[in-house]
Amino acid sequence: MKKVAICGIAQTKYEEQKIDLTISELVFEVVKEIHNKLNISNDDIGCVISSSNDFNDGRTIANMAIQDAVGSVRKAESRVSGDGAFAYVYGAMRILSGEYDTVLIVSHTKCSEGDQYLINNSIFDPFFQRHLGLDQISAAGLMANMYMTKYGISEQQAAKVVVKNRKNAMLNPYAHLQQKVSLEDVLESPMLAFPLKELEFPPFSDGAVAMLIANEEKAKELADTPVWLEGYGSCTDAYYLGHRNMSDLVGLEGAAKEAYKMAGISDPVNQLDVAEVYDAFSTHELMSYEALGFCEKGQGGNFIDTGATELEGSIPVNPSGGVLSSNPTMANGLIRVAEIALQLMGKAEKRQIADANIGLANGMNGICSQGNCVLIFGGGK
Amino acid sequence: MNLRGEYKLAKKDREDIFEIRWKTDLPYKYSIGKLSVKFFEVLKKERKLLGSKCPECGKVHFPPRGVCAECVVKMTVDDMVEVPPRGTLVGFTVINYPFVDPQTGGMRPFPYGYALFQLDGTDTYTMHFLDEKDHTKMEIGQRVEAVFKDEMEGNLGDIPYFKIIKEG
Repeated sequence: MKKVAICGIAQTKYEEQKIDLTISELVFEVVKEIHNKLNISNDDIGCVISSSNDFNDGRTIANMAIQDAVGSVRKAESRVSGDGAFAYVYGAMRILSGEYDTVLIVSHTKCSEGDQYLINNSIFDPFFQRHLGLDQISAAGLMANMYMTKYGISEQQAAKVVVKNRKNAMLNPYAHLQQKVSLEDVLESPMLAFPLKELEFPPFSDGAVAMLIANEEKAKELADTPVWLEGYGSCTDAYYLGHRNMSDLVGLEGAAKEAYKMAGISDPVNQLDVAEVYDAFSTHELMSYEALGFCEKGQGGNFIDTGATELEGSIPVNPSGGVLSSNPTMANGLIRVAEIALQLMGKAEKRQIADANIGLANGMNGICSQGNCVLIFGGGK
Repeated sequence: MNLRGEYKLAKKDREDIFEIRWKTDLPYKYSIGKLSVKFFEVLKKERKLLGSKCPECGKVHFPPRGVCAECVVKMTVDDMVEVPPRGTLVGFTVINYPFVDPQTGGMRPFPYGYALFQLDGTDTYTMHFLDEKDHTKMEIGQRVEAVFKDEMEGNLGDIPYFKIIKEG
């Protein structure tokens, strides 16, 4: 396979409400930062892939509203209407086609501009499911109840995910929530959807992320420490929650298997140095450990108890603070990719994992891991 | 600000915000499909539940679906079969936050119980409200039964909730 490199990354600070910025202005912040960091102009960008969601942006074909900001007026631009990790994949394919030397990938969401509960509710079937008030939180409650009951996962084990990720977020200047929480804070926070409590869910955030990717030749010009794509897999589960096995992330497992095969990963805990997973709620991260093969099925709770996923553990998970700390929904997958790239470039500052050479990033579309994307990256240090 | 980053005072209430408001409806007329039309007609007239049975694998889908995802085979109204209004709880939650009912635009009172269950003779799970809101009284494996309204209208509201039942 030809090589694809991440050369530069830009993120906004993730915040509750960026009231002074239109979505176009928000996106331009990260695009301009990419230009400045890599000392390039818009003419050096071959084409653009963006990721957003029309309901969140409050207009149809919403990528048309940011053509100025992404520099694609009279240029090739296309969008993934979904998670930003899939936009990375689309961009990588444009490089692999041989047609473009560089691709700019951008993803954004301003959660503050819409009603996130109604937008999430609108994911569901309008005849049998929407009136039931199903959204990301009620669906998570069902999934957590089924997972915890099946495998005997404790509330403390679930809460540990939040404590870990919120602690990591304190070291990430881009993270939205920068307030440390204790196990007691999590366990004593109000019950939102039994068995999950308020702090076991992410905030809603505004923010954008951008990266420039390039072919091997161009990457050598643009970056000292390019980060290379080593493996990719995706797998989608059934639309209806009632058609899924809700106590295991079957789709994520399928995506991981494909990505591991491509990257030659047979022992993920030993071969991977760092992982960024889509922690949409506390137990979701524990389920992800299992689906990604970090531990056996049903062992997600025991695995976090060992401390393996802490910053200094054998497989640190979500050094960025994860979705539980910053949640500009559509950008979440690309933020996972960005954090892995920063780690492999050795630019993750206070949260840097020592000797990080191979990393995993996971993006997700839909509710409770319906659409899954697993990416494996290798560092070039 | 609370620990999840939400400000108590919504920013829209701040006085220094420049705001332009407009009110536009964006109505949809979703095609519901022949299977669902039959489902709601039979629900209204006969107080019965129908699922759809895949002609290839024999799996019964509830609510009825037009395509079997396992076999990628079409199911039609001829493949619809009656299923009993009783089943077994496979997962539950108790919702403890406000929810705008998309049908009425009004706020739904909370807390309320919410369940995923498998109706007898079906091969999929389905979900609905539960009449129980104390999670300590709910358990996976409990039997549940649909409660029908007196005046049926031919929509999902004809079954306001499922109740936990004791059998035998």
